[in-house]
Amino acid sequence: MIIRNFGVRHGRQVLSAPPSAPSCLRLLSTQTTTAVAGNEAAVEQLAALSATHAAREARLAAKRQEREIAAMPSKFKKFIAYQKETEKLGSEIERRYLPDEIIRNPPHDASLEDLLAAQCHMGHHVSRWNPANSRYIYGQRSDIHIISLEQTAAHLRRAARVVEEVAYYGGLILFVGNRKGQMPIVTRMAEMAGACHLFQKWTPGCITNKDVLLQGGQLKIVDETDRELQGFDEHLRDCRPVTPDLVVCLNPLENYSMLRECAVATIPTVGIVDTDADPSWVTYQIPANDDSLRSVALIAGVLGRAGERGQQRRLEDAKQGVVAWQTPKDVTTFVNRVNKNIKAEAAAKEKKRLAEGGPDDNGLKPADLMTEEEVLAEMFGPGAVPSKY
Amino acid sequence: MASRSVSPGGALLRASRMFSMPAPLPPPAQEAAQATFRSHSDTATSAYPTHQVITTLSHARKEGDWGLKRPLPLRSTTKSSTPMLRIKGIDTIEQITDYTSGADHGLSLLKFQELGLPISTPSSRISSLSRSDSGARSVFDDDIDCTDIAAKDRAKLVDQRWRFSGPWLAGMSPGDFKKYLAEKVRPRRTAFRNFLKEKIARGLNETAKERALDRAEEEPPEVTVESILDEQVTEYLREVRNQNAILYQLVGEFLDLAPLKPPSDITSDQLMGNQRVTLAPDTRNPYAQHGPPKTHPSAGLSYIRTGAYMENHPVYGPQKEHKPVEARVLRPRSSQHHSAKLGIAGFVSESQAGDNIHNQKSGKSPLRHFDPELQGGAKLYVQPELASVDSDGKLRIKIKDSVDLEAELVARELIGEGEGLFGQQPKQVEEVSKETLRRHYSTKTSRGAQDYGISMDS
Repeated sequence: MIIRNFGVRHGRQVLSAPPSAPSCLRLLSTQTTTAVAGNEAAVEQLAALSATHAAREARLAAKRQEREIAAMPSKFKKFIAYQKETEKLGSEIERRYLPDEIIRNPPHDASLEDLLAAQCHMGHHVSRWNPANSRYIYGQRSDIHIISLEQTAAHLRRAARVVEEVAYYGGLILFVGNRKGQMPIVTRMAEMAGACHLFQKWTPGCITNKDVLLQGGQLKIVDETDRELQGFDEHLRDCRPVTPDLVVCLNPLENYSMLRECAVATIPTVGIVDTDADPSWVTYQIPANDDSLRSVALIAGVLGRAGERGQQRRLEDAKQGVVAWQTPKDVTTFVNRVNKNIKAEAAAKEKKRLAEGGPDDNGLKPADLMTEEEVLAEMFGPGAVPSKY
Repeated sequence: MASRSVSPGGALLRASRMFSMPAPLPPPAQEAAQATFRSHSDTATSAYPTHQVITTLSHARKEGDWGLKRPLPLRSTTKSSTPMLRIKGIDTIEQITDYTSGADHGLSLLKFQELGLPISTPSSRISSLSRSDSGARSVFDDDIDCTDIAAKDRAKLVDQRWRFSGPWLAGMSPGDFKKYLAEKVRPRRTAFRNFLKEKIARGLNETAKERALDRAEEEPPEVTVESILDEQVTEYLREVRNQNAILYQLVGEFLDLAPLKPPSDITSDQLMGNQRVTLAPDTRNPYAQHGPPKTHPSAGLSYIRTGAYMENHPVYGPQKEHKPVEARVLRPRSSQHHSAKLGIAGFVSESQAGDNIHNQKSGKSPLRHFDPELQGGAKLYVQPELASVDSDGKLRIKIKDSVDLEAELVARELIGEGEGLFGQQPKQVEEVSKETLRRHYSTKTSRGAQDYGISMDS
């Protein structure tokens, strides 16, 4: 770099900005070390000239900035005032429709209006009907069967009662919905009812062939307040996999094998029965549209709420000491057996000790080796021992 | 008839949206006749919608919830900016919901409503050369919009009705007419004779009463219908056989035929011939010329009763003319007989015949010359005047034969085209962009190379 072009090339700012000598030096030293003596004066002159010019620019800029800053508060005040004035305008939407509200916060009971709004009344094409459903059908319209809303509501209430009572009696409930889009519904209702869920394919044989298919599945023993109990490892190792006490199926048509297994194992089932489904597949039918996710979400939500109520009632009663359910027979047998073993062991040990004449299990305590005075001193402190004693 | 009481659920269902969907209309006759409907244009829609168009809320649409049997596929229903569907079947035997887009007719309706045109009765002069068409009235006028008429008043109010149980004979094909005669008319011979007996008895009674009044005598005893002999009826039939007007009136009343407009000009044959020229009685029914409408004459397109309202402009005040609209020239005038076709708000309209601004012989009017260079075709401003629905269900828009230039300029200005008309255009408030402000306030912050004293100025 040629030093005489420095000023031109690097402009005013470098030279005008408080010309800190070190930075200048550093600049120069990094670039060149051979400054021609005659040019130094020119450089200084140029620097001085551009310094004055830049200083004027900077002053102007600073003034402009000050002006704008000074203007800002008034503008801001105006803005705030305007905002305050207009915030009361417009309409307030108190209740807006959110599609997932029915999943997040389902109702405890579905009114006829709810059922209608959720498209529960729409059956299948009239040619696809199952005549066994004729008692649920109100009529036909636009070539589809219309399911009677009263029937749906009544059957839904009955099913909700079943779910609630099974939950109250500590039963194991399984919610099944394995159509596309039913996963959030099934998981949410299982979460509410403290139950199990299935949103994938039912593995055939999970009930009738459970010993093979569900081998090694984790189990736990809980008390009436749902706290896990220890000491049952031996029993859990030996016991058979559990089956649900109630199965709620949102789409019975796709789960024939599961419902059949439940029937074989005498497990009651609750199912949404559309006009093309066979109502005899499930124990407790809910005649409704099983294709619409909204309809399924409403029905599942009501059942989930029922399960939630049952669990709450059960836990409240347990706190009061009321336990409605009975301990399973195998667990009782195991507990009795263990108790019996413990007792027998203790008796055998006692017998052995008596026979050998040895010390009992407790062994010697320090107090056994002390005199009575020492014991008293230990108990009440050295000063507490009566002198006359 | 008292309505049957229904269960609460049934009452809810009856009031539900699904139940309020109307049954689909039969497709337009022309399209139904052709097995595969092919129009000149691949974007042409059918003459009138046959299915109700439905829409849904944006939130529900994302879930596929259209209030139907099952959620609709998201891929084909969420991408449209005009969410309108027509449902052909809520559920079919294949277990699918049969639907197509309904945006074509839905948007046509929206566009038509933007015109602000009332629907009027069809004009009696189809290619009217006169400037004022006084024959057009709103279809909602009380005296012509009535369907609830007692059976005995039907004949009396024939000029004010648009719904008839009988057909419009002029619109029937010969085959249809023969079929109608064989199936509907012939079995009612005895009923017609009884109808004639009533007529004869009434006529006899009236003349007798008049005569008695004239002669200041006592009223003679009434002739009953039963006392009219079959011979009398035959004789009466022979009498009226040659009086077309009376015979048509009798038959029309009996069969409730839609009124016919007699031909306006009498052919030379009839004038020269010896036989008496007897025509159907003249009628003032607006639907006599082109047939009665199939639906309500408004077809649900517009419910405004009159176009006699004034539009207001925010700057220029009330406007004398309605806002003209831009129309696309679909086909220029090809010959003297074919007028140009214009597309207005999605409907095809014909330019006015005769000497008017759209029909200039000189100059390069887009209505006469097709310009292949123009992207999207030529457009021009027109002033729609009347709209009516014909008996085929097609909407006919009649445009005025001239456009007010001032109104056109105002319309152009409203959409941002053209210069200010009267005053100056509002001044644009100069706004400092965020970028400028940011740059301004960040002069003191570090700016890369400049911190090291290297300026980019030169």
